[in-house]
Amino acid sequence: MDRRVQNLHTTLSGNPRELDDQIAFNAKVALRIISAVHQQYLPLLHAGSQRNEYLIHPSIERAVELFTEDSFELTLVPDFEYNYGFVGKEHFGSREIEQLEKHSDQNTKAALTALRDKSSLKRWITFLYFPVADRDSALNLCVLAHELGHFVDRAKEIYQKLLPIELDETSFDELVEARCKAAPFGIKPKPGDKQLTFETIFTKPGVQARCYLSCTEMLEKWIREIIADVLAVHAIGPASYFAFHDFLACVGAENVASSSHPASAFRLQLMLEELKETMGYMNSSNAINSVLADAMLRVQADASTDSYNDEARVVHKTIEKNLSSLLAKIRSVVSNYSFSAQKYQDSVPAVLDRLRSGIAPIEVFDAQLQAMVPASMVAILNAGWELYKTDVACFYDQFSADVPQMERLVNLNHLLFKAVEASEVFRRWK
Amino acid sequence: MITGQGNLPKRELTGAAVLSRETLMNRLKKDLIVSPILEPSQVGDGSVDISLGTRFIRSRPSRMTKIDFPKLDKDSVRDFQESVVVPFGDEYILHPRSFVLGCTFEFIALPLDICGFVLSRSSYGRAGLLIATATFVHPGWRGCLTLELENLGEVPIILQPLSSVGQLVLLNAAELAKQPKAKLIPVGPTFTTLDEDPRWKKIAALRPRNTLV
Repeated sequence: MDRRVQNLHTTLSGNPRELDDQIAFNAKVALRIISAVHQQYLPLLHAGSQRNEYLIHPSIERAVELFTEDSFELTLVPDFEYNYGFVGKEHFGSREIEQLEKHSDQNTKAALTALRDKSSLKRWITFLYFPVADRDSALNLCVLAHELGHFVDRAKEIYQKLLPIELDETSFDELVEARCKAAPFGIKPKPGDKQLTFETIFTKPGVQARCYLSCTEMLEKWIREIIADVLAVHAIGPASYFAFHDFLACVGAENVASSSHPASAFRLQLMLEELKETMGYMNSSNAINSVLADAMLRVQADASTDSYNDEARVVHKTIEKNLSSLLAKIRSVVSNYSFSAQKYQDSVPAVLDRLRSGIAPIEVFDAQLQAMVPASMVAILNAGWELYKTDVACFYDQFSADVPQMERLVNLNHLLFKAVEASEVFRRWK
Repeated sequence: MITGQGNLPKRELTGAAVLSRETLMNRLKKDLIVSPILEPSQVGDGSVDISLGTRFIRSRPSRMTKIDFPKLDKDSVRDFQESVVVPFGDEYILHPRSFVLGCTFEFIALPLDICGFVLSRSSYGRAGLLIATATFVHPGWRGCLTLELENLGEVPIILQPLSSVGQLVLLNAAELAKQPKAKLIPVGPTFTTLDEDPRWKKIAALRPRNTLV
């Protein structure tokens, strides 16, 4: 907005009346945009009309409220790319209104100031992006738990609490040495020429500083991913692992690290180890634990082949060295809400029984209360994944032979959507 | 067994009978599913109140000139109908003499010995709202019922998800031997599938051939 107004001042400097009109017009547009950042206006962003996200939105909001006291507005945005993402703006509304105040007359300014001071203005404006292709898949949408993990990280400043983290000295020195010896970009020495090195152009401290900056930048991104992974796995248990695994399979992700994400196998292994060591999964031989244990073997084999170069090697070594202390600090945020193996055992089987017989598991019988109570969203999603991973043939068998398998799977997902939606209403109604 | 009033003798029922509230409550604890029951008062003598869900299928202006059921495949249905979701707290406006498919908020699963009928609530009916034309629900049926909502009045009607628009009257039925296989376990209104009716081919075969005289 600020840049737009500056441009107007430049282009319309000779016409003050037109300038005022244009500023007023832009201010109105900006205000409308701010007020439109709301789930009700999602159709503006959405080419389709079937909006399953409306059904799960209230449950997601309630889940996030458990982790942060900050006020927030959360919008689910369908994306035509097959990708999940998170964008969060702190004090977005008040900052934008502040910009408008700078360019307003006295009357408007007073109204804008009053608007900025309103407590109804949310502290966080957040967007969760999900692929349109997954719109009908409650199972795949479990990846959103990871994106919500990013939000919780930002809102509770988890990353900042993990600092300081010292870079691994040995691998960092090796990186600096290698950079100093490397030929500068674009100049290839001929055989017999005197080797042109970085040191002939730059000093070693300069190279060190550049390496330090790039390594710490990458370290922050990787650790934020790890935070989101760990939060997601604690919040929704095995469903988070399965959804993430299937997402990687869908996009055909290679097991390589990037500047923003650690290698996939490393992340999957971390999630499985968290499930096993901290949350108590894989300690018995029931169906879901067997699936997880098998996955662990495969992921460990994949992770052992990971290779890291340059900055990624430094960052990987640094994380390896500090992993246990990092995880301990992250766990402290979610310890009260961790969906442990015990909670899984207490809540999922009853939900699974209903789902297996083709019934949307909206409510379950509570023996203590001797009444039906709403099923939890986490139990519903995990029951869905358990059924899909262990006994989906039993579910498919309820349909007549001419129903294609894909439609049966879509039907399973619709039952899950229905269960999440109706159980939330049931909970709030009471 | 039902109890008559006053001096009337008790009578044994041999055919179908509307289930009493007590029986319904008992069956709801066992094998009859109408989920969730938000208020206990939803269950009455012989029926359970049903409310409107969030999913609708509405008609839209299209270039289709006619609905020819045998030729109506899934793609052509979507030429004149589309799905919409109306979030809780929001509303759908049904204009006079217009039609929309809705669904029940409650997920229903009938045991093999209970069947049902969907009826409009008279208060809505008096305002011109008709909620169902295909009213019979078979034993063993599972899903959210599709409601054919039609405004027969002269004034637009506001439909809100969770409003209690009808009732499901439940009766006992001759028990089926096993759970019937499902085409679909719907959780929202379903598009017409009349094109899949095998009868169309037989009807077409009866069509007189052109003969040269």
